[in-house]
Amino acid sequence: MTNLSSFIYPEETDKLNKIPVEDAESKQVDMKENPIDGTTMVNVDVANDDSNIIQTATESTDVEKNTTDEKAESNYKQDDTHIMQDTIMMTIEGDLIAKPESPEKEELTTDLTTMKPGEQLRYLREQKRFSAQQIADRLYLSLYIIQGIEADDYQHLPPSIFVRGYFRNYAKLLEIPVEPLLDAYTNLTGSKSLPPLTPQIKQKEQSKSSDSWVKAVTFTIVIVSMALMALWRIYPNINESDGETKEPANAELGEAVALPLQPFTPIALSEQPTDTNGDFMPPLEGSTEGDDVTSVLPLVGIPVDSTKTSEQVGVQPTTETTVETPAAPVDPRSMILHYQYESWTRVVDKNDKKVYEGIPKAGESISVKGEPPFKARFGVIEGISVEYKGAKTSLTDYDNLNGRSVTIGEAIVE
Amino acid sequence: MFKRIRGLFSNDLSIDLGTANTLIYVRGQGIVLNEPSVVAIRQGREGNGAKPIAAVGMEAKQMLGRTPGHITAIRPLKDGVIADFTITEKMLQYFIHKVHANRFFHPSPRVLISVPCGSTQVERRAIRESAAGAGAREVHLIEEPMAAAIGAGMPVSEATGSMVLDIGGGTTEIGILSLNGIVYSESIRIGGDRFDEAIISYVRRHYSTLIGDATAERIKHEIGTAYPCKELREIHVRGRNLAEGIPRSFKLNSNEVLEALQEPLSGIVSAVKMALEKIPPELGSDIAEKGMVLTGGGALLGDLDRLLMEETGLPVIVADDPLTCVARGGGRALEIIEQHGVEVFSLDGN
Repeated sequence: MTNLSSFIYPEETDKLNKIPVEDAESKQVDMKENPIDGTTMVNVDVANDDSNIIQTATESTDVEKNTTDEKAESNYKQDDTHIMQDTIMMTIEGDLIAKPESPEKEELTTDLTTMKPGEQLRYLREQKRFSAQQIADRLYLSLYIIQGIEADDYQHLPPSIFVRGYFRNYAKLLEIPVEPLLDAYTNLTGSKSLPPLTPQIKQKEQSKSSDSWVKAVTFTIVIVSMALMALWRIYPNINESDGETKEPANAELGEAVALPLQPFTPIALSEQPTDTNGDFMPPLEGSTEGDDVTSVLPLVGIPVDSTKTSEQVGVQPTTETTVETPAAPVDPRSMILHYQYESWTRVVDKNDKKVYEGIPKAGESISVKGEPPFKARFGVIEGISVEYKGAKTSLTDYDNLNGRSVTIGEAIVE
Repeated sequence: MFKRIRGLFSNDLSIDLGTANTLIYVRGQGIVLNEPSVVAIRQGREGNGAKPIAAVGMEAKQMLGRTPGHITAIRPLKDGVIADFTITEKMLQYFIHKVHANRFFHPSPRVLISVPCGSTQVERRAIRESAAGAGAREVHLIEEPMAAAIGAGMPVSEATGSMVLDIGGGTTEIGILSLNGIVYSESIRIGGDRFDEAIISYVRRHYSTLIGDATAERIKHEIGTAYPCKELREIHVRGRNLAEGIPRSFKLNSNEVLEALQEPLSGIVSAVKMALEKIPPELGSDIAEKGMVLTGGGALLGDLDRLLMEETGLPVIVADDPLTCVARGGGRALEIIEQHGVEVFSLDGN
């Protein structure tokens, strides 16, 4: 920090500031040298700009003369004031061509406002007799950057923000106002373009649980499965209730409980016992040994034949739903036992052959077939009613009830 | 749920919660608020701890050092971090409401706040909660050098080193960035405030005169310089003479100010040198080629770029509109976050 005062602008600078009058000749030389260096001549450039602006307006002869070096500068935007200046300059230009010895000062301003920003800097630098290397040293920049700026070749320079900064520093060094330069630069390169911010290395996107489509799919799956579960839950009920409501309709056809699915119910009924038979068959140890048919109707909670229930009110809770058993009630070789409670049961027929043994569940009904009389023995006698020959009687009403044994029916006399 | 609905009627805001000034950038509208981070509080007579706000922002700044007994003008942020939590919350609330003027709904914007890179988890949490308390629906924090570099228009997403020096009111942030991330960052607690203090103490030492913060700031703005320049500028200043106890007027020139600022400036220069020492050499060479960029209010101090150039031997440039770089960068970051998700930047928490 102690050497802060070491930086002093070159002493020539002050001297150079006074050049306009003294160095008229050298200035003229500069103007001629430019084309030799390979860069565009100042005069020609002025004319170019003018031609672009005036094209639609007045086709000045001076302009036409000078449009030999056509450069496409369509993107060079001009504002009104600029156009005004240019038209004035054009006349100056005309004078210039007519009288090459026009005042130096005027020429200076004329050139600067119409030049590209880099050219302006180059021109002014040469005015002040700095070399590009000197400028690069003072700004701590590489020489190629200074050359790029002066050639208005911004393709190979750092992004816009840096170039604008270089312009600022350069202009400060040359002690010229920077705003016109920056405006010219903006006009030349278009709007201030900001570099892209997204990463150059594009990562392959992984689908995550937070992705919206994943969420949507999951949600749909959940909804569908819930709907299916709900249907599954409801559908058997419908099926059951259908069966239950259809049966009486079927049985009491005359009462005209017109159900739409009536014609199909017999099929459903005939299937239902056989379907469920396998699932709900109580253990039938003895059933396989004899040829007698032991048919079990495990119709849960469904009592038989509502038409008969009037005799046994209170025994069955849901008397309106009945099952018409295939065995005819009047057949003396068949009887049906209705259970209100679970009870072990063994039934033997006339020949002491076991026709049923098992533990029917509460509410179940079993159908027993064999040669009467049946001798039955129960674990619990309460809540059992016997339907035999079309009559349903509570077990406790039997006269011949002996403890937990009872004989039902009489031998058939042929 | 309700916040989200209200969010539909609110703008996304990028807030540069600075020690000196708070700037709010609204997407699509640019900088909509630029006010000093000052709050004037009326001392409540109720005694229930409630502190009614007398003024916020510009109005409150004018009260600084000129308040009667029942009003206190305070700056709730110090050294880039929150010094007074509730007041900061009140201030943010006021600014957010001001930005959403004429809205029927209570605003609930998404907010991105820049924080000094050296701030601790506690300080960040304080800022986050202040913003949430002020009604923000979603708060993102971005480190200041990152926001400043984005706002300045540096190619932060490229695999090339970019160095930014953000000199704010309370802190100076040095950041070296590459590929949307911070390679090196350093935050030193030197900023505009320290410049003012240095000027005040210089004037007291050499002129036996006491000047206020506002006067010191005016001196800094008008004739402050970081490097000796050819022309000598002068300013007339009034302050209270310590010996006589009477306000006196005197002249101060730019070289004196330069001398006064030596200490904080050397702090900044040594931090920059330290950063350049610590970064990987490849990044160092990128920076040496393109140069470092100055943003923040401190960048407006005359010839600071020249000082850094001479001291480091690197090109130094001042960003366009350095005061608003951080807020603009935050706004741009918000846009990118909306398009590409939070992962693009190394943002701090969500």
